[in-house]
Amino acid sequence: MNHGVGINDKETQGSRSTDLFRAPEVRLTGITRSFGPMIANDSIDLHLKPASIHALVGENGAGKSTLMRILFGLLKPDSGQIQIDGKPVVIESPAHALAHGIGMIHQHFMLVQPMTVLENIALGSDSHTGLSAIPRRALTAELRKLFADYQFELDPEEKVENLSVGGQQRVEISRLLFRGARLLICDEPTAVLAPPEVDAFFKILTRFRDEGRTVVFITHKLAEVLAIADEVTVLRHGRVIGNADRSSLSKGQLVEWIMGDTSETPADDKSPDAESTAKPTRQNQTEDVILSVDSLSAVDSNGRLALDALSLQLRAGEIIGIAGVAGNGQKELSEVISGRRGFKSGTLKILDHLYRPGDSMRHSNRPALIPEDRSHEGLISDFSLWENLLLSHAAELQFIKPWWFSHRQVKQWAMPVLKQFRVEPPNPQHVSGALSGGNQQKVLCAREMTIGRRILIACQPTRGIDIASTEFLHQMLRDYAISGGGVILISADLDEILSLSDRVGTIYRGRLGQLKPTGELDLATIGRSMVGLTESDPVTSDNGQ
Amino acid sequence: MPRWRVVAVQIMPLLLSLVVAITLACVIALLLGVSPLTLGRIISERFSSYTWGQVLFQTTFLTFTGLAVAMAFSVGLFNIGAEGQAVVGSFACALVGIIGSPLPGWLLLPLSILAAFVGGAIWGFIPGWLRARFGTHEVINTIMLNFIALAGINFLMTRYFALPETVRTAKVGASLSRLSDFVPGLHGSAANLSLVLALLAVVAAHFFLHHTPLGFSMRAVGRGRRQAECARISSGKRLIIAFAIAGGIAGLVGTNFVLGYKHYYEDGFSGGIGFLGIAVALIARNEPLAIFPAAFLFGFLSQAGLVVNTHLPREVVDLLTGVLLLVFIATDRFRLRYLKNVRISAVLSSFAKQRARLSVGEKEGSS
Repeated sequence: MNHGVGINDKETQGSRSTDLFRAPEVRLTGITRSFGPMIANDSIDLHLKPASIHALVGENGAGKSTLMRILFGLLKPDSGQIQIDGKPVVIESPAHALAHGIGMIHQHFMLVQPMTVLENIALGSDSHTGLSAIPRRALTAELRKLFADYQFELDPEEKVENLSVGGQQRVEISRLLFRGARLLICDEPTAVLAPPEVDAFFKILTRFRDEGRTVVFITHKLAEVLAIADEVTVLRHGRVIGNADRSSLSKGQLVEWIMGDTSETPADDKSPDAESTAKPTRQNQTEDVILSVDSLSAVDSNGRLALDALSLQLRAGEIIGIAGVAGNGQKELSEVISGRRGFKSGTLKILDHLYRPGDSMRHSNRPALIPEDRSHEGLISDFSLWENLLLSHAAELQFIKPWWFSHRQVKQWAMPVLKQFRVEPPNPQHVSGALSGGNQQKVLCAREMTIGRRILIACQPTRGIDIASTEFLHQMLRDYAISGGGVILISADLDEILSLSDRVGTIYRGRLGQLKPTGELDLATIGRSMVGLTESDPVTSDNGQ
Repeated sequence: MPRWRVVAVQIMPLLLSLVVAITLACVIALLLGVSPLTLGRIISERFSSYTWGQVLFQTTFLTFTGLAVAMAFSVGLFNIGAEGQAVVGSFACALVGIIGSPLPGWLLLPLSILAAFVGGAIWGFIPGWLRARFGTHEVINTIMLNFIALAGINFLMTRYFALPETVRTAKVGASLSRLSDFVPGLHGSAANLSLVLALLAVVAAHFFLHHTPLGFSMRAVGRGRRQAECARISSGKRLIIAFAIAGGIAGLVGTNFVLGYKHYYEDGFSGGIGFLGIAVALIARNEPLAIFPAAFLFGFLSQAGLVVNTHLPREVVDLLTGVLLLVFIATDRFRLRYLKNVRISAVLSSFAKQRARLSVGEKEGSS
């Protein structure tokens, strides 16, 4: 089963025959899969035509990932059939799927960080298992050709941990190409990319289609679906709600399929200009500075400079958006301001407390924080909702005495909080791990936005959640500012930044650009500065680092 | 999901592992030419109220050490050092009991109990602090501290404290009454009032972990340290507190042995109760309230081993304990998976109820 290498040999000789990469025709019929009592896929039919980009759309928990994991052999369906080129098959494992030319790029990359690009690609591929050494030289040459051919701008000898997210994604793609994948499943591939990287990624996808490959593209973002898909399938509650060619599909129809009704236009769908004009001007924005960061520098966990003489001032009633590609110091910025990481130089002033390097932050002074990783930094998955809410609140609640608190009272307190944040179902007894992502995020926001802190650091507050929850949380963030709080919004979603923020700055390699009022900005300018280009620089397709 | 089924699933792994262990015991007995029926008869005949008293005596030890393991696990750390903590606590208890002999009993008794707790707590504090301050792994720390405690106290005993020609100290000036003073049937058994202390410790640990803000935050650190830190709960302090309390509870073993039983400290008395405490905590799933029954089970097993000693080698009991634990751990995974499904279905069913309510058209409903 040494097909990967063979294909690449021919590929790099420049033969562009579509038959070479022609994806199999895949037909899923009546796929049903349940997890315990929950039916994730309910008799789903899906037809994946060769040489097309097929967008699979739906809110969180609609069953997209489950369906694709079945196709990739990670899960077995309870019932239903998969046909490849007309022949029924049972896909036992990912290796088996790959043998059929089906590959998957997961939302969280499956790369060994300290290993090189070459080692990651060689890892687990059929030709290089066992005890034999990796034929480095031959592989390097092959990979160089592959990277050059697709303009991936990767170095086989570079360690994966030194690559940008976009670079890592290209390693994942290369790995699949190398193993001969002709049907590529991409699970929310654009969630982590900056706009120029998204453009470059879309070019790759188009190229794949032109080569005859099939791309299954799982996404939340309508704009992306409309921009690139040939065919769209919408799932809701584990069922296929709609399927159509892009050409015959209107935006309104798509929104209706996803949302169930069109009474509300989802945020993702508005153009940023419309957003900024539509945004209500907040009256209570004052000159009252509640957070002041002054030429602050800090290092990351590896001792590398992560924040470089960064300054910003947050006023009460204001939302400051920090745009940037992940890994440019956002994490460290949120950690320093929230008192979880020390800093090397500069000062940090929170309300009336001034901190210098080495000072530890007073507990009562630490800002509210919505961490970016909901499941590993936000909620404790086997704690109940009331326990998760209590995490931040134990010191504030009147009925909690140092020597005793009653569970009943905490639950009584938790219920209205959950209702206020529209957590469904608002039952404090439920274990948070059993809720959907959107509901978990609402619990997390509820916890941090109700502690009564004046400063809130919101990191990726709506990443990977459904449109309705996103809309709701955006409103809650606006309300937070209206009621006199200040918000630092760190997000990779530019639409989100532009629609919520009063002022926006981009962070690139630990430096924060000048904060500008949202009205004076447009997507292109921000996109450029996110990858370190000034306004005079031309927009290149991508920069690898 | 009916509640009784959840309860059934909770105890299923234990029942299953008991069945496997007992079956294995019967097989071994048959191989050794002893009828399992004979063994059963011996156990039922020879289990007098004295024997039950001995079971309670053993249970007291295991409750303390099991609780010590569970307490450290509340912050997600493994306490392999209950043995050392118990030894240090007991030694401290005896020292205070000896030095304070001139004091009146009503004063010396609480002082000795306190000494047992503080001695163990100091021995527990060390690995907690090392973990919080330097990040060194608590399993290594506690194992090493076991050696240090056993060797160090052995040295102190032979050099300074042991009576000539013995491995024990002088008598202490305070004591806890035997249970046989209240229940004559237990006459001769070593069970004493520290059993009450053990039960109090169990209840106190339960309330501490579940009903105080500090205990709650410790559990939070145990279940998700990063989450807790993001919620402004610093973990380091809590790791240290948990380990100190754990050590203190293990130290209370001294009340059972020194104050309740021998009235002196004797080298080598611990004989693995700290390690058996790990098994107790495991079976009890680190829930304080379950520690006592789990300790009782192991107390019973070891006593049963003594009783059938004439027919079966004593090692068989150790062997069965091991098998029991292995089966328990293996089957416990299924319980967790089942409970996860139960939790998801709880969410789904309350969704369904809500939808039903909406369709009926009711306005407000409390779930």
